[in-house]
Amino acid sequence: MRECSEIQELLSSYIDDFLEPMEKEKVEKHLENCPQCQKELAELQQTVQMFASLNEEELIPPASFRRELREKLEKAQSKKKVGFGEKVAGFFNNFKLKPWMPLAMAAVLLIVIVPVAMMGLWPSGTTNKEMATDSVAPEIYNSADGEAGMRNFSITSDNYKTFKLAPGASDAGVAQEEQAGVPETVEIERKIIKTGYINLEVDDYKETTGQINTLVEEMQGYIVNEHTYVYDQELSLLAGNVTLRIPEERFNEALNRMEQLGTVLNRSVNSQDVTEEYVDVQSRLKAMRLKEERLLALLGKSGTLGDVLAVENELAKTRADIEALEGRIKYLDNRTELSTINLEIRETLTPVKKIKTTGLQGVMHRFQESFIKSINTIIIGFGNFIVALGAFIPYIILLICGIGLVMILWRKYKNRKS
Amino acid sequence: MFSEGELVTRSQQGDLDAFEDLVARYERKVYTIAYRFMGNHEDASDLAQEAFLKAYQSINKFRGDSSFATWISRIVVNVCKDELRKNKRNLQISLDEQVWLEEGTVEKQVKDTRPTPEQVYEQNELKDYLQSLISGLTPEYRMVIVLRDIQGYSYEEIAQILDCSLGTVKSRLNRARKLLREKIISEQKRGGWE
Repeated sequence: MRECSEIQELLSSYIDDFLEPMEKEKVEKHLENCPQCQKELAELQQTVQMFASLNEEELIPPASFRRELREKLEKAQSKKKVGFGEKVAGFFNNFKLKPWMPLAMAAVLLIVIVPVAMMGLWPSGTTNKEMATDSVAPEIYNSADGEAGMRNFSITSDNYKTFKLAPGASDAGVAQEEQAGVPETVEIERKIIKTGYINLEVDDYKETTGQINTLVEEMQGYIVNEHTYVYDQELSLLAGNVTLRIPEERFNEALNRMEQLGTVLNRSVNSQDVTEEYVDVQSRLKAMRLKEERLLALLGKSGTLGDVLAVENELAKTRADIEALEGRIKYLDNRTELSTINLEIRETLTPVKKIKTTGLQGVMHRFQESFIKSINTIIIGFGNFIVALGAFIPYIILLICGIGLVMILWRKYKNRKS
Repeated sequence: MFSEGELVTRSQQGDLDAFEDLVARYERKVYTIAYRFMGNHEDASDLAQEAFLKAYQSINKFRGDSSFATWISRIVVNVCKDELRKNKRNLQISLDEQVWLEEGTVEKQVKDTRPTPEQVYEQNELKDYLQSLISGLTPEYRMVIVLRDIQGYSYEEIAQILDCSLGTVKSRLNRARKLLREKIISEQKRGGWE
């Protein structure tokens, strides 16, 4: 039953053939021996076809349509001739102070000021290290440093390879082309579509999905699809699958971190190199654009009606091709910039938790440490605060200017009202 | 007769008559798209006119990268999208909030604007019936159905038009199609049409 509801979520995309190969296979396998889902699919297809039939019908606009449109067009045309100076004047005359405007301004200023203030107040990396050598347990800061490192979007070398294509095979050919002013190498970024699959067993389903959510947000990816269901009614255990898109350069990091969320039952990574196709599509697109230009030039020359029609036909075909190629490039870009991760998560019975006494070890020592740490943080924070105050002053001046502007506009608005 | 390219070039030079020729060629297409979104002739007429007006004002931006038909379709789709979003904002009211009157509080009463079954029966024509189903959907679902199933845009294009993710397009389309199918089937069971 649970598989059916899962499959039915995918049927709509299945009709449009817009599923990942893995999902498609899954759906087809399931459909083979599930009459209920077959029926569902048939009904959905019928519905889609019915609405597609609406596309054939063209409605005729009411009789007054063109006359009204002509009036609007003429009005627009006379307006078009208004000069730039008048436009600016018109803008200020029409300018109305809406209640949200000062708020928006405040928000903008806040957005500018807060990060700066944070930067000023936040204990910077170097102070962390100083403190670490000072008195506080080093392992805490090691982990903090590790996090800071990740925040810097370090790009690992194996994810961002570039390679060079030399068009001329022989040295002589290269030399000749160099003389002609053509760059002899073209740098092409490797395009790889990455797909990962992890099957996880976890203690707490909800907690895990929460962690995944924060993880995805942190990695600047997004969740494509999330599906949860109860797979064991008696014990009310949850299971579900999540599909994520993660920026390509953080794919491995994401996989590794997700693995740590529970027991991994299955993990697979699939990379598909589409560089060749990408280059191919790009060059075909270029060729098509050239062809289009030539056809346009041909169209400019007079010829028999038959000739013109033939060229027009060819042009329409070429443009359709161009659009299809552009679509393909966009699709490839999207697929390679963001990698897909399919997660299957299943909750298992939580083992009874034992009471541990080891948690109390070295309490006094840790108490002392954290006390000293807080005092140090306060002292450093105070110092930073004074520094930040200095950094604030230019913004405060800006703020005053902004408020002044708002006041002037407000007065203008009031005057007009009265 | 001039070719489409010539008409566009002349319109770009400010020739209103040339532009009207283009209008004559595409008014049905544009009007039909607007009608599919809005579900009534007044709004469809207004929005189709607005789309042509916009097209005329920005015709200099049209460089023939796509066909004029594609370009003008995109404009009317965007105009309708904006209108539906605007409507949604204006019309979003809580259905069960309390309204304070002088006599005391009462439950708010809202008119049911969906067509009654009788009205549906009167619309014998299947196409009118389908249109009424579309008009019964919320704007989000209506937009994906019209864009995908009637206009035949790709998922990527829809995501771009609606400014949302592919996943959102997929799930909205899935839900919208399910809703429509359920409506059609329940109607069939009641013996509504056919």
